[in-house]
Amino acid sequence: MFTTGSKLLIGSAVLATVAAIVYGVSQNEALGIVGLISAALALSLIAAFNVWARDSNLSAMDPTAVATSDAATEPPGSSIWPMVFAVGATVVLVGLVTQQTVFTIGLVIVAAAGAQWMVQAWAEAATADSTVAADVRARIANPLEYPLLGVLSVGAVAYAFSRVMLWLSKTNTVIAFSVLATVVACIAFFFAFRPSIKRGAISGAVTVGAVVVVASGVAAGVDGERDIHVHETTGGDAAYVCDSDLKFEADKKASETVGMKASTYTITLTESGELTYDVPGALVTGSDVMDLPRSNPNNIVFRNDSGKKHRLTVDLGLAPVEEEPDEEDGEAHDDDGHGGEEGPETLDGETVEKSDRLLRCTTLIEPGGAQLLTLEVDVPSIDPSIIDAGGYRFYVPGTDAELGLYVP
Amino acid sequence: MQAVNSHSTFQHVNLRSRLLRTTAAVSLAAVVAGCAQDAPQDTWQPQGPNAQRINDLDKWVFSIAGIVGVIVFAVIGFAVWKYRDRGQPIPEQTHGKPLLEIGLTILPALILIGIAVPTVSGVMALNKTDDTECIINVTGQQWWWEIDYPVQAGCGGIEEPIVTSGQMVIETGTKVLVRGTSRDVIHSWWIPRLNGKRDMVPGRIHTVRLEADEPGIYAGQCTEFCGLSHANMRMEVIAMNPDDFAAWKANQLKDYVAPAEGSLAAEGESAFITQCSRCHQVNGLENSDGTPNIARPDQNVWSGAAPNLTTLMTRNTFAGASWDLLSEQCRPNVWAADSTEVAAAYLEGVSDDCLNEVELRDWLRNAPAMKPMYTDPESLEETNGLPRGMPYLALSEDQIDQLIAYLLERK
Repeated sequence: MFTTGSKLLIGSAVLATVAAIVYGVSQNEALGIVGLISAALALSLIAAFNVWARDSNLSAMDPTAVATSDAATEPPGSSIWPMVFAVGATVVLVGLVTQQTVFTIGLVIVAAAGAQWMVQAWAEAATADSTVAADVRARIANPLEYPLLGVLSVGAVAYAFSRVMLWLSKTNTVIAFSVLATVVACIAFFFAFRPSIKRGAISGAVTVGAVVVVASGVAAGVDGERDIHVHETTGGDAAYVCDSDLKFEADKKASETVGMKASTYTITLTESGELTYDVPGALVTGSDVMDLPRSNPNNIVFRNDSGKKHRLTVDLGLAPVEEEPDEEDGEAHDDDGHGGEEGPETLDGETVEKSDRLLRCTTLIEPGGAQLLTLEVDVPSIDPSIIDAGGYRFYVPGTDAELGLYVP
Repeated sequence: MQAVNSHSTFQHVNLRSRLLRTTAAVSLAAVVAGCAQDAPQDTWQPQGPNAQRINDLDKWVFSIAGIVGVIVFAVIGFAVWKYRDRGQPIPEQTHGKPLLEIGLTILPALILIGIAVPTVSGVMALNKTDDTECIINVTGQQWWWEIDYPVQAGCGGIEEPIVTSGQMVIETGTKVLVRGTSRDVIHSWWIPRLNGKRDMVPGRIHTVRLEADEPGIYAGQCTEFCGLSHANMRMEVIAMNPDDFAAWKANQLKDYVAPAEGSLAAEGESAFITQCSRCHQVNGLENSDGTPNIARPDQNVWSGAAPNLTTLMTRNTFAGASWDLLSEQCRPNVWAADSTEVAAAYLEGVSDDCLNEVELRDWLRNAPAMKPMYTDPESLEETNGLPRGMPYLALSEDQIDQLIAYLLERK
């Protein structure tokens, strides 16, 4: 019943289980336990498989069968897998001295070819009948091969698709894929209304389509992506950045915010260089001062409808005075990283003076673009410090555009 | 044996009879509840065009649904009765009745069109903002509503912002647009007699139209579960004619008058500055050095806001509009007044002899004991030690006397 191989595997699985228990009791460390339990599970699985297959139906009690069975005497059929394995091994070696990607691809080839080779060898060892052997191999390998190949094929087509989309201009992308979707729908309708159509014709059409997409993807990938605006993600100090036209941004979080398109405040820099605001229902305000609830994270969308890159900055009064350096650590502590009397700084090749105002701003927005600014103001506009500092206001550095802000 | 059977049958009949009686009583109670006269949050007593529109739509949809329901039940009942199993052979089975099938497709489609057209048009009408005549901001937080009137040409002209809480005052016949958001969790604004409900979501602004035909007090409450004291988060809309509304606005914006020197209220002012003004703003109040006293609720409560008490006694509720500032004797003078008198009664505010001093005292003595709030300092790790709601302030009885005297002058 139990072959020598099975006994070895069962013993190993038991040993790994015992080791996991001993390790778990004696050591307070999770990684080793996970490794040992994983090994125990893997060995148990292989052992169970081996018991079920009984070492390819050869009785352990009949050692002569190893030499005399049909399966043992019949020469094995030809196989492509040793060659693929060798290619994979070569790619691994090449990858070792070139790139990690090549190395990884080599490993994948070695693993795939090795698995296929083993399964084929096992199937041929089970029977001398090549048809039955092929059937046995298919039963073991196909459940793995089909999903994997499916994922790889779909992935290749999707990746090629994305390359084509990134190669075309924004407008042409919409047009091209509207046309493509229509063509696909038409062909699908055609097939649906012709139930008698041959299977080969459908397979052929799908294959041709896939090949066209992949080939287009390769061509587009080689030619390169269209010019895509690079979003600046370099963080900067608001006291330097917000009063300038520098491309740096002061609020990394803002660039990571999912854009909101409705139910928010909107401030627009118009073509004529004015700052206007829109709030749901702001129709009878008759005021050029925007109001925001106090102590509330308000979302404001800034739209740049002017012809140049601009940012929206909000002036929240004078920056808090920086604390004196701590005698113990010699470092100054600052609540929000700005204020103080530090000198100019060089950013993007330009010398920028530090503002003495407490500023918040969006990043530099390209013409026609928009960005969300989340603004919470805790001190009301009636506070003397705010009145003395000239009140709150929105403005666009480099322009005369300005908009009052009132916080009740 | 016969006796046992008889007993069992008696029990069965008795149980059935009790079930029938209970069902009848519950049904009767449900029907009678619909006839309640004093139901301030009855959505089927619309008092403005927006609520009226919803009510009309309700009637139309429920009528259709009712007729369809009766027909469906009647047909099912008829089929069950007529074709009940009496041992008869199974009738001949046929496949398809094109005319019937087409009819049963077209008829529901027509019914749905009949419901959809007024529904969609109603939804669009209730979302209109281009005919707004007055904008009022509403900000929800645990567990009260802040109401502020921004500077605008609407509302008869507002030149300085007005900040209040709990009670929103509007002009009758004016299309008001409530612009709402929230400082902490999702709340929902609903004045059933004036319009449907609208969620107020942090970081977003949502609008809801309000318009009242007649002067009156229209009650509502938060309808989105928002934490421990959700049930104590109420609000009212007080509608008054344009002249009365103008008087209310003028009163809200009048200059601060300090209590007479040496009075109990003057001592209350000092107590207010030391105990209350960390969170509560009273416009015009000055510190002892003459600088304006500015509340910083952002540093003292989790929501970052506390009700503005500048004109507390012009409102007649407190603590999330859940308790009356008016005593039981005086309350009906305002709340039960008819539409010709309600505004004048409301504008009188709360006088010394009408103050609900018992509950206001209880509130000042220990607010969390009256209204459940997360204020225990030991359980506020998630909120950096800041309470959600008004905490226990350990005020002495003398301080409470002083504060009440001071607050009584805030109108």
